[in-house]
Amino acid sequence: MNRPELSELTSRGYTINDPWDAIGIFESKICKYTGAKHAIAVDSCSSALFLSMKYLDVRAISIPNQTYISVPMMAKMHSSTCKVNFCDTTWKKWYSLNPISDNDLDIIDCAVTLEKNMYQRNSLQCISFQHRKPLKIGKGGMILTDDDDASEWLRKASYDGRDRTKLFKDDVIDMIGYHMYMTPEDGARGVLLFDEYTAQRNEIGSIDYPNISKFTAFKDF
Amino acid sequence: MKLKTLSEYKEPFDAILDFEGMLSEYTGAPYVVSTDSCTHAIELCFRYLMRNTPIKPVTIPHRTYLSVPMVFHKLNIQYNIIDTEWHGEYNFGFTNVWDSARKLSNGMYRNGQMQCLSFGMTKPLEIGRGGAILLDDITAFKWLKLASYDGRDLSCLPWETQTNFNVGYHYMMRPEECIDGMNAMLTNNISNEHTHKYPDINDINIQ
Repeated sequence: MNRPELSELTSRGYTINDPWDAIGIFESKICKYTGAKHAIAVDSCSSALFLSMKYLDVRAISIPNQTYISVPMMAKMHSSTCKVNFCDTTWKKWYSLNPISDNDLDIIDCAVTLEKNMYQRNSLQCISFQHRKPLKIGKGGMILTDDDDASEWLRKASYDGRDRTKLFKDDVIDMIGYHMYMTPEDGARGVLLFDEYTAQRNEIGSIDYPNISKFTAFKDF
Repeated sequence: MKLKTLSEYKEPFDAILDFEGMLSEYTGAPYVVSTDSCTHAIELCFRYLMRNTPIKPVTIPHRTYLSVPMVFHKLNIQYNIIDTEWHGEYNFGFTNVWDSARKLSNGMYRNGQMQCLSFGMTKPLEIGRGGAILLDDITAFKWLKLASYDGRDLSCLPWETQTNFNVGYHYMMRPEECIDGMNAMLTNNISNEHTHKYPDINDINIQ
């Protein structure tokens, strides 16, 4: 089954020599729009948060009581010893996870926001392309950063430790990776949607989420 | 039989249940849990098995996809690479979990087993991305179904109305992909099981 998005990109004048070119185009567009030096496309914002926590080897995070349930779950998937502190704070558009690690990069959950020049320096900013989010690919996410080392690590980590410019048989695998890449077809859909994208007034924030700290799943976090 | 489009579903998640039902009927598996990839299907099966009992070292064939040993690194499960050939699917010895990424056939389900399917590129049902677990254990099914979607019970909508969550993972297949899968199955767009020339993972240095 061939999804139509890649050929649609070609018909709109984009040069696609390899399916992964669609991901590169999408990442470049988001970089330019947000002001980030690097953008790494992944399969969801939850995966973006997980990979960011993995990169920093985070020991603890502090998150608002009111957010999506997968945020604390990703912390525990990163490490069973990662401490999650729930805080009674309100937020709009984004919030910091206040990561405790040996690195000074921040992790920011920007799942509900996609705005021009939104990138905040010295951070790993995680955005979402889920169907209720500003750019509705259906599922997908991206990590924005200005850190070269983080970008290189995250790019390979999201694709099973692979370099997406090389064939599997020709690649040198020197790190543990995760199966969290965005498919070229979803990247192509992202490009098509982004070309029509107009940022909308966005005031989504904590008020739109329940207090998840009360859920039994998180009682031992 | 004419399939609904996504907009014709009152609730899009019902497309996931319909796809799982179609896979159940085709493979003979009493229960099916769809996931976003075969890799994550395998991961969930081992997370289920690990809940109460530590997993003894498993065996994997020397020719398989890279993400398979990566899963065991992620879960801190020891594995031994064995020199064995396989066709369509192979078992992770000594467990009841199977990597069936290269197989999808009528009545393929093996009683008592958890078989992990793939719908990625070059796979028998080529949706682009996706996977599923075939199984007959209702306890495992209930756990895996919740675990595949952030601990969510899809009968509670919107999710904010659910008051009790288990810890879960963000490994769900999305409704659009399920509709693509059903369309492909209805048009018999399923290739026969086949082998694939994987590199020998003994040659890969996973640190």
